Amino acid sequence: MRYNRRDFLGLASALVTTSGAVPTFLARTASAAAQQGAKNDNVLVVLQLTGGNDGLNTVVPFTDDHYRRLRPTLHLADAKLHKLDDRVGLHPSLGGLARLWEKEQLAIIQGVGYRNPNRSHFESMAIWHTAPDDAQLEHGRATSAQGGWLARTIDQRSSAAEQSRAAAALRIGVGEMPQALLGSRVQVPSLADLEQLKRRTGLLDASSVQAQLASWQSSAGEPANALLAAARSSTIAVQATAEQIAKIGVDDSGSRNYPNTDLAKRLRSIAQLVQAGFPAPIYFTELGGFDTHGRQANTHASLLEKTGNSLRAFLEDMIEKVSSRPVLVLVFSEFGRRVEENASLGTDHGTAAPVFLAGSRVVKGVHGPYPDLANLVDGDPMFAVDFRAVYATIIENWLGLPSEPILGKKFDTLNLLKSRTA
Amino acid sequence: MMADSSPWAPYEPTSSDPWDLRKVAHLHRRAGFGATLEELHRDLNAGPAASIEHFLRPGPEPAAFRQVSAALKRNAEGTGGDYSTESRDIAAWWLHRMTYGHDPLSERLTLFWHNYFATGLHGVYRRQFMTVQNELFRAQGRKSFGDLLRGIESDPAMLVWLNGSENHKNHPNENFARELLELFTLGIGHYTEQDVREVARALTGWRRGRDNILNETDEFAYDQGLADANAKTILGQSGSWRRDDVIRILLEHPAAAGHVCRRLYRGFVSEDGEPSDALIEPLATEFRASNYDIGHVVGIILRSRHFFSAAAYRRRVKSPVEFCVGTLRQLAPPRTANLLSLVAISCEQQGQILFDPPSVKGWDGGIAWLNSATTLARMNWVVTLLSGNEQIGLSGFDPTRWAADNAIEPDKIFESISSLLLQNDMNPATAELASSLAATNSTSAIGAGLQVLMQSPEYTLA
Repeated sequence: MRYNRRDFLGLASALVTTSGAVPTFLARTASAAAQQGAKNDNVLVVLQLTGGNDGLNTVVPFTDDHYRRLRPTLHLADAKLHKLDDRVGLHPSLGGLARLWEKEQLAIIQGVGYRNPNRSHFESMAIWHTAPDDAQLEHGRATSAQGGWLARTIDQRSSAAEQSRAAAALRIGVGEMPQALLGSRVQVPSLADLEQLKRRTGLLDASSVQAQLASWQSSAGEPANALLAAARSSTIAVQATAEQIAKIGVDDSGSRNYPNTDLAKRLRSIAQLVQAGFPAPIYFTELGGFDTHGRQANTHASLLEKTGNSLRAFLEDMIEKVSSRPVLVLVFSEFGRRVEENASLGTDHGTAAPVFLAGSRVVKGVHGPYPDLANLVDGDPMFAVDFRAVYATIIENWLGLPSEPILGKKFDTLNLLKSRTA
Repeated sequence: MMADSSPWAPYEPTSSDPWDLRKVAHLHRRAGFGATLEELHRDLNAGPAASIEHFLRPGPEPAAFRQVSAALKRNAEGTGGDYSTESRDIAAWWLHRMTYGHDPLSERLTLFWHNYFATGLHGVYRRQFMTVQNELFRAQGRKSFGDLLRGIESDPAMLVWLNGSENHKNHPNENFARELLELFTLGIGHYTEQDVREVARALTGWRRGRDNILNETDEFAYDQGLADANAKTILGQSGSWRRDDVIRILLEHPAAAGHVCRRLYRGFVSEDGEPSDALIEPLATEFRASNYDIGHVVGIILRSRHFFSAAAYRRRVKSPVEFCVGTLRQLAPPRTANLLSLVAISCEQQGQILFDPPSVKGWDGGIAWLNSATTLARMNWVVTLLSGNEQIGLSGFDPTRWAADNAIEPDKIFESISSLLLQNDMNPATAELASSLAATNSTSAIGAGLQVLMQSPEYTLA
């Protein structure tokens, strides 16, 4: 009899609950099992900078006269930048990312966007989340019916039965579920922190709790009311995820060098889960506040500092503790910001902007052409790299899946990730 | 008037479609936050027309309630330091109005407009601005939409939230203009990027006051010197447009009425899919013809055959606020001091921070309320309410007391509460489990049965 990886995990987690065994055992078995199949054990973490991150003040084109002219008060002085080459440097608050750059763990792709840019937060976010096909992009918007690009990736990777046994993705955060994760065969769980997934049983004893779950499942097929069906599936899913995480027994010791920010806490939760053997390959989390229409300098600096330092701590933690599961972090925002600053010492909604990939197997470098600030369209630079090509690269070269069924067409993958044998 | 064939023609009870407990409870869940047993039976006897009138014409606010509410508000505005983003105290003030006030429809509409013109304390940093905006919604929320728009354009919280007070002629700030077109009036697809820029120019002129050491004050002024007096072209109309012209031009646009009516539909009728144009167009026509009278359209919706049909019944997911306030109204536990603060905290865990929606888009609602974390928070809140929490001085739900308050025989308690909460809209297996747990009729047995009912997927639906 051959065990697959998830059987191993089921077995192993049962052992953990009785013996308190160390999670490294889990990681080893999981890794061994994974090598047998096409699926790899890689972890993808997607970090969304919500609100429209000012790409020009993140990866700063410090030699560009247009930049200084259009940003009379907001341009950043050369001397304080973390210079990446003779043309661009990272914002002074991005020391964390600069450290990753030194360790060859950072790739920057400039000018990532799409045709007919949409400057609405919600529309542009929906485009990034659903990765619509060319015909839809021609109209500059995504259809609401389409599932998210990560949901489609999950469905490509695992069957419904596999997704039911073990979460195929997890979102750590509060508020509404990101559209990228909506529409998979089995609902992706979302939690604010690990503590939150503890269910209080209240007046019910253990057998009543089981009977309660069984009673929800007894009518799970009933389709008359779509909202009721969704409520049932959510209620059942939460029970399953709570049990799964309770069984894994997360190690809460050792805080590493995480800064004291909400983002760092969420990334740390991801690290703890992966370290404890939680099998999901995809994690999603967000940092908000990037919609800097007014007095942006301090706000933006603080947000970038949180981003850089939290990412640095997370990657150090992951690389040190779970070498069996290499991690890649994708950092994106729904758009960059207008090149010319506004009257409120801020910037309005723009278009294409840099995307970051961080991890031990990225091809270090500033990829993609430098933004052409001399030839703006409606005040913004033209996009240079289709965001779907970045997704295609991740799907194929990181998750080991064909991207065409997910993205609806073949994109040339970009040279952003080192091959696994390298 | 609506033609008889219209889905929006008034509902008339018939022998095959009678005015029953389910319809009364449905009306209370949508026009208000759920009914007590007494209200249910009052309106069951009163019939649909009189029941709906209760909501539409609630009469003046009782003086005693007004005083308590005003004191709670003053107190809540004063807590915390300046520039705090702590909204729990003002949330508790508002929750008090929703739970114990005499005019649930106004609170319901206030919540609707809070979600429509979604403004968050995390960008405003002034609790008083948030309560001022909340009172605008309460005062204008069932009157003229045009007046409401004019109110929101000069509302301090909105002027800060979407940078209206930083929109000056030399470098316009487009933030408010964009959302005014996209979210507040027309919707995507009915305007161009150029319209956004022109509207922003036409709305220039607001600025926030400064004191003599240049700190921001809480005053806002319209400064002609900062306003762009030149010609603009907005949605095809050219002129040296200013603020009032923008609102006029937007309301003249054919898409505006339908945009608002679609949101009203989602807020009051159904979140299950998008309503057809055939459903929305009659409402939009009435809305325009009444010069954008919100109360008129809400009245049509609440009286309608469509509202009382299967297409609307249990076709919304309760927001966390509806879930918690509704449960409190129905079970009417003792009014302990920190109960509503506790509700505010639980609503946060369930994904709804009053006065601090996640973005200007508001909360999506519907199934978006039910991810694993928020679903679990709902279930845990049910446990708190039923079992109590000693740390915060909350005692568990006492079914005997409820029975005494409602003149219910001791052996009918579970059955009565079950009917009050769910009107038997329950999957048989779950209903059977709940009854069997409650069978011994002890306080803890009834509590266990209620826990199963209130943690059910059915109970999350409005």
